[in-house]
Amino acid sequence: MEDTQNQSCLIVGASHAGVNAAFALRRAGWAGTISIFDRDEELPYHRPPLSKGFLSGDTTVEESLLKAAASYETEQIGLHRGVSVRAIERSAKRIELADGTRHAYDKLILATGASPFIPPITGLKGSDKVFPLRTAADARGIRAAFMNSRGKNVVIIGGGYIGLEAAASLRKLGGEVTVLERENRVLARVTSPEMSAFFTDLHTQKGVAIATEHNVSSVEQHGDSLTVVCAGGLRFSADLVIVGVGVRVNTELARSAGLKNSNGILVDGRMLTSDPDIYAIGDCTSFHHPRYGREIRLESVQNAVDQAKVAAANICGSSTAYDAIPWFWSDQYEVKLQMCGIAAGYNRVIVRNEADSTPCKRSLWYFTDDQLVAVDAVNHARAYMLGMKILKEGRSPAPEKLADPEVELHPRSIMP
Amino acid sequence: MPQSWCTNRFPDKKEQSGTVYFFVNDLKFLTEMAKINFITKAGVEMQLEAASGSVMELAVNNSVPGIDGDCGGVCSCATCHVHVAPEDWAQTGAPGDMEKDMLEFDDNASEFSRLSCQMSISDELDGITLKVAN
Ligand SMILES: Cc1cc2nc3c(=O)[nH]c(=O)nc-3n(C[C@H](O)[C@H](O)[C@H](O)COP(=O)(O)OP(=O)(O)OC[C@H]3O[C@@H](n4cnc5c(N)ncnc54)[C@H](O)[C@@H]3O)c2cc1C
Ligand code: FES
Repeated sequence: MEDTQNQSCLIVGASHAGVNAAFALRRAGWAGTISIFDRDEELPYHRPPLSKGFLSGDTTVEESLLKAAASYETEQIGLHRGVSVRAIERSAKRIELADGTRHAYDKLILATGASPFIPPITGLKGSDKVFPLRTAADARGIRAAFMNSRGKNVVIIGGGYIGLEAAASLRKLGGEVTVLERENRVLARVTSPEMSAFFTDLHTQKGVAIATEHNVSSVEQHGDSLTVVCAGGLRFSADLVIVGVGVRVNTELARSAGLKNSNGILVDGRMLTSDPDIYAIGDCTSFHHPRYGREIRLESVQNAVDQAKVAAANICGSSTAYDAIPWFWSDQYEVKLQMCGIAAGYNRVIVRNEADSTPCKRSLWYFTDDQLVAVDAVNHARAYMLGMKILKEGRSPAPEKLADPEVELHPRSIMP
Repeated sequence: MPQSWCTNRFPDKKEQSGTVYFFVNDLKFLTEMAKINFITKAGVEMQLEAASGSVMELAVNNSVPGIDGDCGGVCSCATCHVHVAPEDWAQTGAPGDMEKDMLEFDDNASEFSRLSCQMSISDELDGITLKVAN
């Protein structure tokens, strides 16, 4: 590695991607300065608990920090909170903050992530009872509004993972929760009809109302109470509304600096953008995934952390390419869903329920022709890890063996 | 430490006058730090201590190489895998069901494998040695 002693690496975004990149840089031997900037005031925290244990009151943001405050000092990582980065001046190799100050870099990492998308629906913007769910402040706002409301009536717009997790967490606290989904099933963009049906049943059993094919047209506020109006005239009253309909990638900085973009900031396998000194990692990137042979953008902790490690290694001179198997999890009530691989394009699914397991251990194995491409495991860490192992090896189990619950779930039994 | 604060430890017994609930010495357990020894893949030994939290958090906050804790401790990433020194196994105990399932197909797993995010720190763990698996 070239001498990095007098060099400076700046990181925009102090969340899963940016923070992990900073610590990975130190581990990989970066001897120069490291500074991270984020507009969030908070010490960097894990986002997944925000819709899970935090909303249900089982954990706090303080208990979910990515790193203890002292770790930044020990590793000499400058953490600048509550600071917005306004521009990148590529020719001068420096960034400009919202207050006009400038900081020079030798290497720059963009870890700007994504922001909740608020659809242009009358009444959604400007209400203090309508919340997105991305930051600790959002989650605190939801919790306070929920706890202070008399009826505990919650309408969630969007039946994605975040919406469903929030529904489960608030239901646990006795909320009357309705999920309004525009598509004909929940989780439509992210999983199979089989999994959608499973989660619809789960929520229905727990007393959450799931209304699909409900397109929200406006939200009316009368004093403290809201009315969510759907196309067709159906009305739902609520004390608070959570909007979970997806995100907009934070590409403005990269775009105005003239970096190549597509569905996100375009990076190669080393996480390098179209500028040789600027890397991008995490939710904000779009990249060609060698395992899938196409350009994708992922929103997951795994992707943020693994891309951070790859960027750090490359910055420190060891040429590494990103080809990790994607994985993800979701917790709703007592159900743990663990997923690996990417199911998109599958044409066959094997549903396996383990005999005499309570709660039911279930796994869905997705194939494109004979090739295993993804596994969804419900309360079934064994299937999840087995799927991960087989996907890593690029092999595929025999579908008919998998489908037979009498055949043990073990490589020695399920391979062709 | 103010006495009134101490008696709150057993609020349901507060009314029983004349009973000595504990000796001041017992208070030590409130601040007792458990020392945990980590041996990294490269053979580096690190002794760390904490009074609460999980072993994974202790390792992550002190940048122990090979313990990443990527999933934040929800038993979904196995980047917190350690091998407990055999003589300390009785102290740590065996993995739970889900933890066992997470480890079963790991090529690195041994009969003394644990996921350190599932080990919560208490004085029970004082003095144990853990070899980082990755
Ligand atoms: C409620 C919730 C639950 C989730 N649950 C799961 C889960 O169970 N499993 C899972 O794998 N993933 C989950 N995710 C997704 C996961 O949290 C994201 O994939 C991850 O946070 C991506 O990290 P990132 O660092 O790339 O981006 P982000 O987390 O979006 O962070 C980007 C940061 O950059 C900052 N920033 C952006 N632009 C600027 C600027 N110009 N100046 C200064 N700062 C800037 C932002 O303030 C932000 O803090 C969840 C997300 C949410 C919101
Ligand atoms: S931290 Fe992910 S399994 Fe332990």
